[in-house]
Amino acid sequence: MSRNRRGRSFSAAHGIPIFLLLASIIITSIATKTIGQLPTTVASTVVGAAQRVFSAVGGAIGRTVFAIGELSDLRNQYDSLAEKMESYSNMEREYADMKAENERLKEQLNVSRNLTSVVASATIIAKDPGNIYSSYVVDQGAEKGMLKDQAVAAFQNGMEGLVGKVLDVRKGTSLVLPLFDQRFYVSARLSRTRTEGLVNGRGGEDSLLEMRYISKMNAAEVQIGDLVVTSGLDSIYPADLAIGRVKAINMPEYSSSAVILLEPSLDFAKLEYLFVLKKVQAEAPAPTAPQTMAQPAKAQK
Amino acid sequence: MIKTILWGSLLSSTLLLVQTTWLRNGLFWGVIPDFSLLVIIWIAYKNKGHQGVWTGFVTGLVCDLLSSSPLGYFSFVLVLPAYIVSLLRQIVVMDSFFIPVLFGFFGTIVKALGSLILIGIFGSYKVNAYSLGDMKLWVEAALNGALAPLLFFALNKTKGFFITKKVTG
Repeated sequence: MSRNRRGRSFSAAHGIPIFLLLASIIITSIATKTIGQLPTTVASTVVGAAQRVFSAVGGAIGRTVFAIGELSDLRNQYDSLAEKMESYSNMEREYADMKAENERLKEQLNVSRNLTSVVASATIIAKDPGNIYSSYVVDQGAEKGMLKDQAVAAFQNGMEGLVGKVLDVRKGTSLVLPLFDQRFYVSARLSRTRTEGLVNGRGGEDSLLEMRYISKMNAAEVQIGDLVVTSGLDSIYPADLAIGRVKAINMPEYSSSAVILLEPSLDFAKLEYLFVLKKVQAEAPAPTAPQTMAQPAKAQK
Repeated sequence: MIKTILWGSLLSSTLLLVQTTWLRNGLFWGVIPDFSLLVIIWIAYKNKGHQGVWTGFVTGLVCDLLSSSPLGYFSFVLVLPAYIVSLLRQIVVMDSFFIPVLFGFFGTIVKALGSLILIGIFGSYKVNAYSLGDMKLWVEAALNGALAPLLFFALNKTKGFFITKKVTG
């Protein structure tokens, strides 16, 4: 009798939490096998729209605050200019600022001209809500012809660099999986020695990338500072997009291949404009290419 | 009960949107504080039933839609701390500072442990998880602990929306 009561009170106290924990696991297992994506797609579109609204409101408030600050600055500049009418110091400074901005805009313009396969240029409007996952939400989606698994690049410091790939496309927004995410893999090669390997992220925006499946013999030729670029062998990423530079070379005793640590070419904290690229036709793999060139597992939503 | 779950889920989902947009570059050292977790913990503590657990489940689903995580991931990760707090509410007496700090800090650690359980089940190719050696986890725990008293104070002022049956003052 008391055992029955205890059993009933246990199920009353713990039944719902345990049910919800199990339901979460079941949902995750369905999601990772990409079943039942329709409700996800619909709901993603709704939350994507909500993110756009939040981003727009934040932008509007930011611009208003900035405009007030700018007004105050202009007032000060006016006073200063009135006092120093003869000298052109302020005009020179403005000229320098404009020149710098012009250079920056030219850079952006050049990349969209140079990369003939650009599907859309996009701006980051949101990021992942927590610190476990890393993804960017950009302001372009299916309306602009974006598709899942398209490569995303950016132009920074005069170099075209790989940002990541499109993970999920919604009507007006898309989710981009960045290079440094631990579920991201890309076939890569060292620009100088042409040795091929597989690069993947280690989770953090400021953490190093890993390049694996390079034999120790080939790794002996690698030098610190060597550039690593996309190989173009995996039919997603065009060849020769910069990934990173060699920062350290590890030769573990238990393995026949080396692990090369790379510093990303792009500063992800400063990313602003992204370029979504068309998928490329896969080249016939070179006979020397290791089997591991193909992505072992694609990140799934 | 449903009203509490709805209001709680609405508030924590709104805070998630704030986290993804206005706080996207982090509050300190690039780390985003988890306001939604704090709301869920507060609701789990203040309500007699499973409102906190349900709020964690619904908010987790919303979080999965905003994130690149598989659906269900954040539900699990947010239900777990809510469940543990709901077990603790009979033996822990809330104050205005120390208990919120401890709840914020250890709630984040439980969330991290939840993510490690999931990586154990599904593997690192499918899901991501916190690393206990990563400084960012401890910074997030410290941030959540530091912000919890403020948020709990604000929630206490609007508790009519988020409490069905009050347990403690």
